Formats: sequence, structure tokens, C-alpha cells
Amino acid sequence: MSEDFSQLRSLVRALARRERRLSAGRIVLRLGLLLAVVGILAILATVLRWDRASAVATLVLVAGAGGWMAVVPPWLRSRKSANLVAQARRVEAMLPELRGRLITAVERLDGAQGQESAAMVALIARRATRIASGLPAASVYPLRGLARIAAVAGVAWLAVVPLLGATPGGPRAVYDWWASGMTAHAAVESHAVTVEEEVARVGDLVIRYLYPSYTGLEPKEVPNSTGDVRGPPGTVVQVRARSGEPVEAAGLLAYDERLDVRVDDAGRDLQGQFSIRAESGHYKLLLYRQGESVRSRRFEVEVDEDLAPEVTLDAEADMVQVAADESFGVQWRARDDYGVRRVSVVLDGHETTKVVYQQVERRAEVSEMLRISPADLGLQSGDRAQLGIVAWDNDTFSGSKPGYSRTIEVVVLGARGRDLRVAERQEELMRLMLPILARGLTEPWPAGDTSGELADWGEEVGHRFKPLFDAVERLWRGMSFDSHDADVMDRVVRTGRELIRYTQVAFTPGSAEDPPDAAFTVTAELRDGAIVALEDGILAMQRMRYNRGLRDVVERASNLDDAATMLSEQLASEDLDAQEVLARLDQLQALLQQLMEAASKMGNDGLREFVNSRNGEVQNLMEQIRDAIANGDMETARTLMERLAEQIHEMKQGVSDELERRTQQSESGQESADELMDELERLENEQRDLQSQVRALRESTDQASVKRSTELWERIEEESAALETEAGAYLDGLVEAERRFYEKQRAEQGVDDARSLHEAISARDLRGAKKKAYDAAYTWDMVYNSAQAEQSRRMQPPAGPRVEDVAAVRVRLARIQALLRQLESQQRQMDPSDRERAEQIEQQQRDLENQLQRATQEAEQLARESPVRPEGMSEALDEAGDRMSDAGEELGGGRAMEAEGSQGVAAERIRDARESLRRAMEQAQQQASQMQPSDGQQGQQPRDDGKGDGMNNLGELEIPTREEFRTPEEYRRALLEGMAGEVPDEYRALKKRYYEELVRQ
Amino acid sequence: MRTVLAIVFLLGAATAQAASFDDVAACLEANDVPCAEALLEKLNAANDSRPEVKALVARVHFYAGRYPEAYDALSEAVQLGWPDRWGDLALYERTLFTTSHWVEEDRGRFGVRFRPGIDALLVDEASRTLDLSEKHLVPLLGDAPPGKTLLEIFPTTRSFIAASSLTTEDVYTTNVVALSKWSRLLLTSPRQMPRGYDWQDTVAHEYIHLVVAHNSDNEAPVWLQESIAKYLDNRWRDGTDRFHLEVRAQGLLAEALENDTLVTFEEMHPSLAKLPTPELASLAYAQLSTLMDFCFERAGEEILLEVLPRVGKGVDPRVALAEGAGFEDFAALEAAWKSWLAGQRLDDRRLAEPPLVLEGGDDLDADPLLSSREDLARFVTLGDLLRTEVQEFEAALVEYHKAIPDDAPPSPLLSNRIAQTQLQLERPADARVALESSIRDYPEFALSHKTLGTIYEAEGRPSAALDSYRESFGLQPFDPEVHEALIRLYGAASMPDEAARHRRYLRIRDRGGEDFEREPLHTREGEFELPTYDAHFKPPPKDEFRDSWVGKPAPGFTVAGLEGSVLSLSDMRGKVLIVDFWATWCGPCRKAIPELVALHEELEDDGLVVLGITDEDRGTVERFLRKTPIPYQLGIDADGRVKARYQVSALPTVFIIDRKGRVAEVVVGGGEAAQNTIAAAVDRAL
Repeated sequence: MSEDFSQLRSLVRALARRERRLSAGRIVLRLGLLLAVVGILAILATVLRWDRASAVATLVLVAGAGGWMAVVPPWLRSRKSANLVAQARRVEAMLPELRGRLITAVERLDGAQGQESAAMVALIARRATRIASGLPAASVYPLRGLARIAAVAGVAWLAVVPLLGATPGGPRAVYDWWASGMTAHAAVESHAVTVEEEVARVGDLVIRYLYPSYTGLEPKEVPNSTGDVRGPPGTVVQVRARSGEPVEAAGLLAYDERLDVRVDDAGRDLQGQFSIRAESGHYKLLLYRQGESVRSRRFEVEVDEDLAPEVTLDAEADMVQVAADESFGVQWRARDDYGVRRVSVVLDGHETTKVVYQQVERRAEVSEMLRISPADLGLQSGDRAQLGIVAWDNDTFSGSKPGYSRTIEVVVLGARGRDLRVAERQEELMRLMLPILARGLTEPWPAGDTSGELADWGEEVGHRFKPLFDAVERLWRGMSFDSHDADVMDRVVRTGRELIRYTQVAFTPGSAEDPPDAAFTVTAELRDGAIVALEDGILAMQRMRYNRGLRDVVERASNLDDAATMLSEQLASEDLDAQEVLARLDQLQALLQQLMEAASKMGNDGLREFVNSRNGEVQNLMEQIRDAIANGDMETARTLMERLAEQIHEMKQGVSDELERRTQQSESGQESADELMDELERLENEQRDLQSQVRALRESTDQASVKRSTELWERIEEESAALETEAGAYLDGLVEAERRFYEKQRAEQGVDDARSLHEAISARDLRGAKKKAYDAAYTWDMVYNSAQAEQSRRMQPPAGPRVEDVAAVRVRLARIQALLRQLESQQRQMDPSDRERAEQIEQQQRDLENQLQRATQEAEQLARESPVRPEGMSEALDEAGDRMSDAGEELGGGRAMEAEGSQGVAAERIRDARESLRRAMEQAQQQASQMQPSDGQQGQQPRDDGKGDGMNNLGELEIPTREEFRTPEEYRRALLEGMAGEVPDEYRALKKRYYEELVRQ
Repeated sequence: MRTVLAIVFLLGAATAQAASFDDVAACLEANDVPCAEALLEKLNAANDSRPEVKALVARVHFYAGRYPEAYDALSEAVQLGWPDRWGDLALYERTLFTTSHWVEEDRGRFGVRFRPGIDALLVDEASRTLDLSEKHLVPLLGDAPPGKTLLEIFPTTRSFIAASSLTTEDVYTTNVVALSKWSRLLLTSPRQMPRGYDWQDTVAHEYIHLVVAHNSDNEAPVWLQESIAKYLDNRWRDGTDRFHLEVRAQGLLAEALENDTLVTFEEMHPSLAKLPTPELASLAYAQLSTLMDFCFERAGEEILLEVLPRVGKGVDPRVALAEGAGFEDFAALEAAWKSWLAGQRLDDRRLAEPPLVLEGGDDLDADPLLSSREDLARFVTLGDLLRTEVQEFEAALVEYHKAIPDDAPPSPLLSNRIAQTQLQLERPADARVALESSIRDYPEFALSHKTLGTIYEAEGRPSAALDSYRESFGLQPFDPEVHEALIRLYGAASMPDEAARHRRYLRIRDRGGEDFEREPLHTREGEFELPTYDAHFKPPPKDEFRDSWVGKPAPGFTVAGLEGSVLSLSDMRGKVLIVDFWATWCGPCRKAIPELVALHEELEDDGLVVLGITDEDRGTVERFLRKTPIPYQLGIDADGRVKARYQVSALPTVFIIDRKGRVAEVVVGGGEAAQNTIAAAVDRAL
């Protein structure tokens, strides 16, 4: 077996080597080519006298991009060449007869994976080697590509030589052009200045400030200025002045540097400018007249110093204790006069590479909640560091300046410290949740009959939850624990908050009115949801507690076992001092005590009993050993010690087996869930595939038929709109005429039915429309009967609508029903081949439904066995099954469009179920991870979904008081009135959702 | 003439000696160790250096419980060339090391062995059980085995497995906790099972096996043994017939009768412990015990005194039992039994079997329902937390009631929880109601009896409480709370001796053993591996078998495919063929299936055909396939002709036949090495 693998390893490594060599060659040749191209460009720029700036830019661009292209892709490729599986894949692509064996074998170069058979793997390797060894490396990685590049590079270099020769001045000229361009600077003409003492007369001073861009300040003009200026460094000061006498030329002396000044034709108006430097100074104007120069008085230049940013750091305490992989939050704020350029984390006085803000547009104030873990900063368990924030301003003129925040101490907890804190946190949360759950389970429901009583109840629920909310806020404030318990608590808090808010919205304090049915129903559902969330939360905490406890017991049993074995071995081999043996026995006793304590925390549990029942035996043996030593009988002590070690080992084995059993259970559950998720994914994909087929079929059917259907729908919709109007008019008539209650009541139902029918027709829901039409026909029969009875009861016809009006409604309804039948028949008329195809799809749909049923059964079984309930999975699968069934019927009835919709919903629900299962398994894994040894970094793994904001929503946990959250009265009234009526079934869910959304706002 | 006489004498002496060694073995088969020892002495076996004699001597030592001597003698025999085909040396070694430092309590006819520690608490009760069994049960069966009978109490499951011939899988599949073998009784200490079990009935049960084997010259098949033991094991206390089929067993039996899915007698071989599921084992026990109940009802209490000796004399056990019960043949007995059962008004509720949880695990793990229903168990956990952490008893009850399944009664643990909570709410009557039906359904739950005792105490019914605590003690003798309650109640009832007994037990339990020292049986120590199927399997010299086949043309065959097709070797010419002789009951065969499936899937396109051949009936195979689908072809060799033609005497045996129809390789047995050989041979042949 090893021979096959070593052969295989050599084979793929040879390929990797060759690929690496080829890549290296490719880099060299490409660079050579690039050099030639750059040379050619440089020559051309010189010859054609390009604008120098453009030439430089072009050259840099070409060199940069070319260099990148020349080096990076081959280098990346070369890096990948080390991937032996990729090499195998390449060979597989060339030798299809390998049928994946080479990949399989290469993946197992280090031996079979998991439960795989070593024999099978060896067989595969052997066969793969046999086939692949016939393929020379040169055919996998031919030299052709390299040769092509070499040829092109050669041609390019050949072109450089004649070009250089053809350049006027030759290579030297090219060099000079480029070299001079780099250093050239416009010379400034200067007058020989003879400074006179006479002060020039200037007036009408206008100063215009052009502030540097980093300040973000608009330009400012100061007319009638004194001439003194003030601004931040880098500000360009434009000075306009009028000379008392015409001058020939002028200059400006700022910071002892002479600058040009523009003089108008009349020689009176002067205009010059200078920049304010970092330090204060002055400037003067110089005027030239008839070969003489005079200077103005000295104008002061004052600098508005750009101070370093002011940075604050907001943390609860001066010290944060946190695990290496656990993130915590600190709120920081940085302010600067003109803007903050960059904000970074400072650790022990040194700025780190952890940049938390980088300027995109100028902002004078930046603040953010930084979430970071010690590991992000390179800290490890046991480290302590001072953490602060540094902000750099955006002063581009005199250089960016840093401002530092205060620091807090970060203490990085070891695994055990972290575990302890997590355990304390979870204990506290469980202690707080249990009484809330108990109250929820035992309080009478309904909690009140009137709106006022329910409002009071809601307030009481708020008080009930408050300690929990407070604790959650305290525990997570500023700290973001990306952990399972954060997820769990998020849900508990969310559902509790929803319930409390809803009662505040839906019920009126002090009101003696009955609450609307819908509000009552929603409250009951929210209350149930809160209870379930509490139950799940408590269970999650309990499981983690149990798993931690189990791990602790195993660790302590293991320590005890090690100590006992060591003592036994020492006793057997060394002539130990009796006192020392006794001291070690005391140590064993202490370890045993620790084990007992750990076991006693396991609650009502068989493991505790197991350890307890063995405690007596172990203690007994220890006592006997002590007695033997006391009697000087070391031989007996040795024998007894061996027995003690054996019994302790047996005890350790027992608890380890339990841990192993639970780990296996967890893994096996995960495997089953993975299989089920794969199956659900397959079903979802197949359902979507069937949906596509139906769509294709529908689109290929006779367009004329589609048109006829559309026309029919439109006619039916017109009829249903008219029906709704007629029905409404009839009811209005009854109300106006103050007709009898039961007549009105039936008519109200009739109007509702007519509305529902119209809505179903508008939605083009043929099946729904047929059912609604049937319901409406029945109701209107009842309306007709009551109208007839009312008429026959009286001598005079009653006031208001007549029986004939109802009859008209019924006739219209009959017409609608007939049209719907016609539409149905129309949809059934399909081309025979399409019909056959539809039947096939229908059959496939039925098969899929059966498969889903099996998967649903498996899912239910899994849900029964899973420690974490996959929330909503069963419901989603049930709905998927229903919609698949609908789709089958619709296909059978030739209603492709409806079937397509049902199929889409079915696929979505399957996906929902899969997602629910995935979440549940993820949580179960998180809980099981508590069983992992605490000496690693495994206890609380960060989530890998990239969200990392477990408790984001908890930052704003505050529950508003009743008054604060009160909605406008008229809105509430409209809402409650809307809820008062009977709601059609299909809108009930919609309505509930609406309210749920409302309370979530 | 003298020469002739000498030859006749020598022949006669040799024959006499051979017969005598056979007699030693026969004595052991009949659980008569003194007889075997006497014969050995007579034959001067101690001075006989032949390996087979040394092996026999070792066997006698082993039966007599002298493990160091047994191990040494067998080691010597093996060194001298004794072919240890069944791994006896490993068994002796495991037993030797397992029993290191053990002590023995001599109780006259019986000896109770245990590891010093809290199992000392069991000695009195165990020997009392054996004494009473001898007194009340042996007269129904014949004679007691002569000599001292040893009961060995194993402190851990691992040590029990080590000293038994069972594998870990056997024990956990069929919940076996005791064994009667090698003229000894092997018992797992009840401390291993927190929920408790009727360990004294179990001791009686295993003793019955010993007595039956003795009185039938070990000819009684397993079904007869188990039927007698299961039917009689409740009579040891006073000889009164208290046989009552457990409710769970009634449900199983009712269902099996209705669906005609009774376990066949063949399936019960070689041991009920080898049945694939605990449900089937329970069903088999239910069948057998009711069969014996029926026979006793028909033929009276002395039926076995007639049947067992006849079985010992070679009469077909079925015939012997049928005739003993007054029927013409076994079919008539079976028909009458079924018809009698139909009139027994069996409780047809299907109750879950309690899982075997040894060493640790939480309470939920030991519950028949909640151990596999996390969706219900969660409510029990919540109830427990509400009850114990915040003393919210009413709320706990709400959660507990959520854990009652829609279609079944509450689990025993749940019933206990509800009862305990009701008691905490000072509603003992409600507590009792919650528990009573559970005790009927799951009488072996020690916790239920303890809780009921607490309820009776709360109701002021000390006598009833005493009974319940006694029941609990009988099932789980290590529970200190039960001892305390018994001390209290016996004290109040002026029964100082009984109270003192439990005080002693409690002291043993708390102190981890007795206050006095005993001499250990031996102090030989060492490491050992637990037995596995592979270790059990010691095929006959397979190289010879292999060599006799390789290179020869494979004999042609035709078998029926599972889907009605006919599979013949001639149709597969030109392909490389793996012929796997297997059976559903064969552990190594089952273990090899995934490997064969992998080969089939990997190399089918290269021309490999895998064919599994079994001589089991189609129904058995189809039932097996429902749980373990096999994608390659399977053939039914109903009359075993193909198996015979290929001279297959052990399972699994795999033939690899090359494209020319010649045997390329033969592999007997399972395990990694076998799989490597198969894979290599297939590769060569392809």
C-alpha cells in the first residue's frame, strides 16, 4: 500500500515541480518582454516629444500593470502547484479513464479517511498509479506557452536596438530628456532689490483666503482689510491692493521669500499671493518705480494651529476580561477641527495595524462601536495589554497629527477563566428565566376578560421580564459575545418584547370593553411564542451546563487516574518514604474530593450516582493503605495501591465512556441531519426543475388559448366587481331601512363573500374563485330566503330593497359560476402532446410528493431525537407537501400557471425547512462543544456565519413605558375596529403578520 | 498367542483410556465438576504430558473456578501444540486477570465470588436466592449439580464481558447481564444499572439453566432451556407460581401473533443473546415462557422430570416436550399453545423496551420512551429544573404533562417525576395514581417502587411502604435512601434484625466494603482486550483450504436471485466475480458488507461482479435488506447446494473468480486483513 502511495506521491510531485519551473520561466521571460516594451515607450516619448507628465504617467502605468501581469498570475499559479489534488485533477481531465480514482487516492495520501477501508483506498491508488504513470509530465505541462513568450520577448528586444539607433542624439539624448525632465524647475526672474526704508503707500486692501482642502472650508474674502491675515497652515492668501502711485513692477515678501505680484496696466492695482506656513510671520509688498524700490509696512501673518484630534473611549470599566477568541465592544469618538483621516487601535502605546476608520470624505467627527477580540490584536490567553484608540487628523499641509484616547486594560482569559465566566453568566440567566417561565405556565389564561385587564396583564408581564432584560443588557452591554447563548437570549428577549409591546398597543388601560378577537388571538400566540422561547433558552443553558459538567468530571477523573497510576508505579519501583506516600495519598484524596464535587453538580443524574457509588470503595482502599503503612507493611500497601489505581482507572473509564457516548450521539445526529439536509436540497432542486418544466410547457402552449383565457378572466372580473357593488348596495339599503337584524347579518356575510370572490378572481385563483363563488351562492340563497320570509310576513312590502334585488344578485352569481366553469374547461383544452407532457410532469410531481413524505417522516424522527428543536421545520414541510399536492391536482386539471405557483411555494418551504434544520444542528453543535476539553480554544467557538453580532439588537432593549409607546388614538381606534369584525380565513394569517410587524417596528 | 493377547490388552486399555477422557468432557457438559475431577485423578492426568490432556485438565480447572491453574495448564498445552481454535487461552487469560484479588464467600453448596467492595452487600441476598432456588426449583427439574456451584458477581460490564463468551455488542443489543456457563453463574452487579433490575430472579434463572443442563446431559436446546428458566425463575422465594407475563411482553406477543412474526426456534440458536434486537429477545422469552406455562398447565408440575431425562437420552426435545404435555407431536403442541394464548386476553399495548444503560448516563437515558424522544425529554428536563432549582411545582407539573405522548402512556421516569411533584404539593393520592399504572407496565424500575414507598409513608401506610421499599431494594440494592427508609420502617415495626441487616448494608455501601479482610483467590494481574467477533472466529486451517482452490476452475452454480431472476456462473463469464458466502446472522459477514459494496461501486464498470450467496430463506434476507440495503446481486442457495459444492464451512468465505472462470483467491473470515486480500486479488484479476 505504501509503495503505491509513494509512487503516486512522486508522480504528482513531479508534476508540481514541473509546473513550478514553468511558472518561474514564465515570470523571467515576461519581465524581459516588459523591459523591452518600457524601453520602446521611453524612446518613442523622447522622439515624439510627448508631454513629460503624460509620458511619465504612461510609463509608470505600463511598467506597473505589465509587472503585475508578468509576475502575479504565474506566481499565483506556482503557489497553487503545491496542491497535489489540483495536479491530480489536471491528470484526471486528460485521462477520463481514471474516473476520479487519482483524485481520491491523492486525497488519501496520508491514509484512509474516517471509516474508509484501507484496502479499498490502496486498490484505488494502485489502479490510479497504473493508469497515470503512462502520462509523461511534459504532456501535462508542455513547453509551448513558454516558447511563445520567449519568441515575443526576443522580437521586442530586437526592436529596441534599431529604435535607439534611429533616435536623434542617440541613447544619450533619450537619457538627458528623461533626466532633465525630472529635475527641471521653472526659474524665477528676480530683480536686484535695493530695499529702501521708505514705506510704500498701499491701500484698499482686499484679502482672499483659499483654505487648504483638508479643512473643508469655503474660500473667504475680506474687503477693506487691515492686511493682517490669519488662517490654518497651507491657506493661500491672495492680496489685492492699490498703490498710491503708479509702479512699474511689484513683489511680495512673505516669510523672507520674494514672490511675484501682478500689476495692472495703469500700474496701480496690485495682486499677489502667498501661503501661510506652520509658524506665524509677516509679509510686505515691494513696489518698483523708476528703478527704485520701496516696501509697504509689515503685515502680520498669524497661524490658526490645527490641533491634534480629540479622542474619547467609552467603556464600562477600566478593565475588560475576555477570552482570546471572544469579541468585546468599546465605543470611541474622534473629533478634529478639520477632519479625521484615520483611526486605529493602540496597544501598549504602539499603533497597531487594526484600522477602524479610514477617511473617504472629510468628517470632523467620527464615532463607532468597535467590536474586536484579543486574537484580532495578536493577544493570547494570559496576556494583559493597554488598549486605546489613536486618531490622525487630515492635515496634509504640515503633516497629520495623532490624538490619543485614554486606555483600558484588556486581560485575556485562559480557557478555564473564560469557561467560568460563561458558566456564571448562563447560571444567572437560567435563574432569571425559570421564574418567568413558571409564572407563564401557571397563570390563568385568558389573563383577563376586558381590554383593561389585558393591558394590566401586559404591564405585569413587562415587570416580570424586566430583571431578565436588565441582566441581558448588563451582561452584553458593550460586549458582543458571538456565542450560542447570545443567540438564545436574543430570541428570548425578542419574543418577550414583542409580547409586551403588543399588549401595550392592542389593549386600553382601564377599558371595560371586550378585546377584539383578533387581538386576543395574536396575544395568545405571542404569549405561547414567548414561553417556547423561554423553554428553549433554559434548555440550551441547561445542556451547556450539563455538557460542561460532564467535561469537568471527566477531566477530574482523568487527573485522579493519572495521579493514582503514578503513585502506584512509584510504589512498585522505588523505595519511597512512608511519609511521602501518605502525603501523596492526601493529594489523591483531595483530587477525589474535587471529582466528587464536580459530580455532585451534575444534578439528578446517573453519572453522579456512578461516581458516588465508587467513592466508598476508593476511600476504603485508601484507608487500608494508610493502615498498612502505619503498620510498616509496605508490601501490602503496594498491592492495595495497585488495586486502588485499578479501581480509579475503572471509574475514569466509566465517565469517559459516558462522554464518548454523548459525543457519538451528537455526531451521529449531525450525520443524520446532514443526510436529511442533502435530501431536502435534492427535493428542492427537483421541485424547481419541475417548475421550470411547467413554465416551459405553459409558455409553449397555444397563445390563442392564453388570450381566450385572459379575456374570460377579464369578463369574470367585471362581473364580480358588479356583484360586489350590487351586494353592497343591497346591504346599505337594508341598513337604511332599518330592516331586521338577521337579514342584515346574512347580507353582511353575502357582502363579505362577494368581496372575497372578487379578490380571488383578481388574483386569478381559479380554484379559490370557484370555492368562493360556491360559498357566495349559498349565502345569497340564505339572503334570498330571509328576504322572502320578511316579505311574506308583512301585509305591505317592507321598506328598502326588494326580493327581486336579491334575485338579480343571484343571477349574476350564477353567471360568474358559469364563466368560471367555461374557463376551467378552456384551460383543460391542451394540445395532446402537451397534455401527455403535463401528465408526465404530474406523475413526477406525485413521485416527488411521495419522496417528500418520506423525508418528512425522517425529519419528524430527527426532530424527536434532536436536542434542539428545529423551529418551524415540520410546518414548512407540511406546507410544502400540501403545495406539492395542489400542484399535482392543478397539473391534472391543466392549470399550469397555478401549478407553477404551487411548485414555487413548495420549493421555498423545503428550503425553509432545510434552513431550520441547519440552524438547529448548528445550535446543537454549539451546545455539544461544551463537552470539548477546556485546555484548547474550543469552548465557545465564534460563529462562522460572518455576522458576529449576536446581540446587536439588545443594545436598545429598553421597553418603553405604556405612555411612551402609546399610538395615536385615532390610529388605535381604526386598528381595533378593523380587528373587531370576523376575518376570512385566508386573511387571518396576513392580519396576524401585520400586527406582528407593527409591534416589531 | 501371548502377542495376540498383548495387542488385545493394549487395544482395550487404549479404548478404555480414550473413553475415560471423553467421560471427563461429558461430566463437564453435565455440569458435574466433581465427576470430571475424579476421573482426571483416576487417569493420572496430572502426569500426562500430552497437550490434549493438559487442555482437558485446564478445562476442568476452569470449570472449577481455579483460574491460575487453568491458564497455566492451557498455556502449556498450547506450547505443546494444542490447536486453540476457539480462543480459549484468551478467555482464560481474561477471566484470570478480571478476577484478580477477588474473594469468595463460602456458603456450603454455593460459593459467592466478588471483588472486595460494595458488592459484598449482595452476598447474603445472592446465597439466600440460591439456597431457596435449590429448595423450591430443583425438585421440579431433577437433581442439583453435584459439588459447589459458584456465583461470580462482576463489578463492571467490561469485566463481565471479559469473562463471558459474549461481545460488547451482544450485551448491549440484547441486554444480557448474566450467564450460566462452564458450570458457573456469571452476574453483572446491579450497581451497574442505575434503574435496577430483578437480579435475584436472574440468579435463579441462571441457576435453573445449570440444573436443566445437568439433568438433560446438556442436550436441552436453548429454546427449551430458556422456556424453563423464564417460566420458573419467579418461584425461588417460596415455590409459589407467580408467573405473569410482563405487560410489555404481552404487547410484543400479541403483535407477533397477529402478524405471524413469532421468532422461530432456529433463530433462537445459539443464544437469545445473539438475536438482533432487544425486542426480538423479549419476544422470544415471552413465547418460550408462555409455552412452558401452557405445558405446566396441561401436564402438571412434574412434566420436566419426565422430559429432561428423555432429552438427555437423545429424544428430540420437541417430541419430548410435546409428548410430556400430552400431544402427539410438536406441531399439535404449538397449535394448542397458540390457541390457548389467543384466549389469554393479552394486553396489546406496544410499550417501549427499556434500554440497557450501564455505568452512568442520566435518568433519561434509562427510560424506555424518553431515551429516544428528545422532543418529550425536553419537557421533563424543564420540569426538573422548575422543581429543583426554583421549587415551582405546579409549573413543573405543566411541563411534565407536556411530556406525555399522545399515543402512549407516560414513561416510567415521567410517572415518577409527576408522582414526586404531586407529593411535594402534598397530594399523595394524586401521586399514587400517577405511579400505579407505570409500575404495572414497568415493574423493574426500582425508582417507581421507592417513590411509591415514599407516597405510602406520606399517606401513613407503613406496611405498604415497607413492601414497596423492599421491592425497590430487590431491584436496586445500592440505593442508600431505600436502606434508610427500610431501617426506619423495620425499626418502627419492631423488626430489629431486619433493620440491623439494612444498617449493615448501608455501612458496606458507605464504607465501600466490609470491615474484615478475606484472602484473595489469586493476585495474578495483567492487561487484556475485550472479545470481538473476529477474535471469536478461529477458522480451521484456512491456508490448506485456500491452496486447494486457487488456480482451479470454479464449479458452476445456479442460484435464485432475490427478484425472481436466476443467477448462474456461466452468465458471468468474462467478468471478475466476487462470490461472498454470507448470512444475515453472521457478524463478520455483516461487517464485510460495506467493503464489498465499495468494491462493487468502484469497479462495477471495470467488469467486477459481486454476488452474495446465502442459504437463508428469502423472507429473512428481505427483512435484513430493509435495514441494510445491498446494491450488489444476492442469490438464495435454498438447499445449501452451492455452499456444499464450494465446501464452505465457515462464514464469510469469499471466492474471487477471474475472467477465465478460475478461482483467483479464497478468503475465509472477516477483518481488515481479509479485506486487503480481497481488494488485492480483485485488482490483480481485473
